[in-house]
Amino acid sequence: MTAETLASAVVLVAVAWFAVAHSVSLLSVVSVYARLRARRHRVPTTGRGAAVRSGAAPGISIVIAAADDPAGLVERIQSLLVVDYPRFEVVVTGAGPADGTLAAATRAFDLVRVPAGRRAAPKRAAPGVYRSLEHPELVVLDTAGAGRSAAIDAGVDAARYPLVCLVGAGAIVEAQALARAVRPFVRWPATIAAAGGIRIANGGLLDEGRGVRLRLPASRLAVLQVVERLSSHVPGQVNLSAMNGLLAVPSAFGLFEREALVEAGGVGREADGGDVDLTLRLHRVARRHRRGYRIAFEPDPVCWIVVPERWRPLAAAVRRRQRVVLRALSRHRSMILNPRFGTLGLLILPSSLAFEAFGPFVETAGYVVAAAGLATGVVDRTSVELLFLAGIVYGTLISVAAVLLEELSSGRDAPARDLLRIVLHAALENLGYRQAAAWWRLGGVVTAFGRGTADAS
Amino acid sequence: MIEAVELGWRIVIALTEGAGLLVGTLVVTLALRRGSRAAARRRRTAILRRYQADVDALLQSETASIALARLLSSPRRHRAVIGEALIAPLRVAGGELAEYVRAAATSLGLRDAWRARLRDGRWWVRADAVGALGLIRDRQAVDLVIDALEDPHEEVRAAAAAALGSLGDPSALAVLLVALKDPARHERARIVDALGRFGAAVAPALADHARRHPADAPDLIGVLSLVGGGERVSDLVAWTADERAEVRAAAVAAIGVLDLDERSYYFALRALADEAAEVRVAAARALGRSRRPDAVPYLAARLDDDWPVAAQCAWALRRLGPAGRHALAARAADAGTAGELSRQMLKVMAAPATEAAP
Repeated sequence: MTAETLASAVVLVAVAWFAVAHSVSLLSVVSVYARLRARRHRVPTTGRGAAVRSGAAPGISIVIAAADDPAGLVERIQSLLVVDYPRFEVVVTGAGPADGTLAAATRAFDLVRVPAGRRAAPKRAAPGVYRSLEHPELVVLDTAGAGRSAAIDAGVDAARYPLVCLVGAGAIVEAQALARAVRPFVRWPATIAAAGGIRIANGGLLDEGRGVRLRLPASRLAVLQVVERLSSHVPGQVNLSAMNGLLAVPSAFGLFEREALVEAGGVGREADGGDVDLTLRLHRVARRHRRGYRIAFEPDPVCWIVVPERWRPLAAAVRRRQRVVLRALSRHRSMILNPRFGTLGLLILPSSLAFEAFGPFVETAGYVVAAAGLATGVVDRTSVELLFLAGIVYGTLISVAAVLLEELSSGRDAPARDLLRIVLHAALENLGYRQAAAWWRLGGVVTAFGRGTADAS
Repeated sequence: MIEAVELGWRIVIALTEGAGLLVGTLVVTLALRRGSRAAARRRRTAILRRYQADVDALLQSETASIALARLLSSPRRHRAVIGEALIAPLRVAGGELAEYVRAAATSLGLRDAWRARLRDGRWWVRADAVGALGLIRDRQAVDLVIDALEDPHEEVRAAAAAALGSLGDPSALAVLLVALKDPARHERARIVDALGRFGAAVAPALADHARRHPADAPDLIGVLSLVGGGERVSDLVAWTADERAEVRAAAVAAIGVLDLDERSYYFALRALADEAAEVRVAAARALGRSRRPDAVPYLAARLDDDWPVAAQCAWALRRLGPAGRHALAARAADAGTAGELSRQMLKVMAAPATEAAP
């Protein structure tokens, strides 16, 4: 086998890879937005819907970690206390004297320490329990310096309602979030967890009187991530949940059945695979009981997050994410190709593993070999053009289609300037951003399977 | 290899063409939608510009009749936009203006148009129509607005509640009182808002309703403290002797929201010895708000009560100045709940009172 054939083979594999991967995402994009458009007329976007208004709505305990944002804790609690839902409580966990969060919360909400025995004492970390005299639905736990995940587990233990809503660092929760996320639990009682739509709020929120709308971020990198979300994340999640194979209920916002969460062993550490690990553990526990279950995704927005606007932190975030996903997949490798887990084991996990572990290699190798081969004359022009067409032109068209479909299904007109910008970025996403992301993810793959010490970052 | 490249070309070209076709269709569809919407906006602006002067003149009594005549000569298809311009000033001013606008809207046929729009399929059209009927105080449309309180869309229900508030029609009172049972606090808050806008005049009716429907009493007592009116204190005081604990608690809490006068202060003190813990909690909270240092001994005596009551009493003492601090300090060395609570309160009082503003 000559160098020539080898190089051409690498390029052709990359072409095939792109053709398949992009075609799958094209199908996802079209099916998702067709479904979203049909939904728009059935489900009220602002109202709570009849299910939640009836007494059937289960109570929800929102659990947040104080350490996520010590300075903004009081504001964060205040914004959660006005969530529009009939029955809920807010459990703030891990507030302590060390970072001043306990003192600040005490001043703002009239906290008083509850004597032991008045509330079932949580098993872990023996926390101090504080209640608010002003807001009966607020509970604050001092977990005496326990780590983040142990503190959250203590909060889950202390929760009094059957559903637990975990809200991560930096997530701004929308007032209708609980009402939207609880829908699957009301409709299908076998639901054990639900994720919701997460929007990027770097551009700020614009109150339009009739609901809030997002402004397009000023930063180019943030807009690229908006495009990425529209063209791959949302369609991917909707399709996975249609097959009941959702791989991650994001740590930013997730609604869980409390018992299932406890049985699965709590939230777990990020080093073990974070939210992917947790979701796979939930799948495992539910399958073990051989009962029908459901882990759902509702695309309606439940919260807003702020994403990195600079290359370096973004690269670090992408690499970290890649590591988390691969760690989780390797921890749960016994599920892969395991017929006991049905579609999840036979189709979703193997293809995710292929996509996450080999995708970055194939893409990067394709581009590098094509560039080097073209320069040295080892690879012929036609193959390189083919790669360009399949990888970049085809991908761009799909991103642009996703952005336009989103605009069409949202029912309102974005300002022309914003629309133009986002379409332009949909093209840029495929010419530069994707390649950079493939490179970062490659780094993530290498460190995930390299020595454990690489986890320090 | 050549064949593979050849085949690849054909497949990739077909896929790209398909995606291109999709993008092309989307671009055309979006362009058409934006174009038609922009045209509608332009038309609206043009109509507004044409009639704005007449609408302004209509609201001045000297020029009203001429302006009305001119507006009446406008084509029917312009009337909807004229209606929007007519009610715009009512959002900031009310009173007599509403009468003028109502009369004008009647002769322009707008009232019927708004009523017809209550059955429109688009929720925002219904919400606007309900809002318009409320703003012009169309009392004959009360029944229609009441129906809109049951609308499937939240915005329409909100607009209907607000409209009933500005209509202030007594016949809507009963319906709003029923709607108060909604389990969601946002809906209830809107209804309370609307009831509050009825003003002190409805206080007797509210009190009466609460007497006749004991189940609603706890909710209504809260409303009563918001609407104002002189006699409500007597009603509230009377309820502090109700046989149901939740009614007594609501009444004491409502008294606490108002400024305590001599009589209600006395009743709050008495409620501190109530047999139900929830009433004692409300009483401690009311006394804490009162800023009357003479309540200190009564509150201090309750520091050994059930935990929720004791906690509220400790909180109240914290708010009652030096006398309260003194009472807390006296118990701080105790073992048990009273000492624990006192120490906590003293610690909070010792901490700098500045807000934690980052």
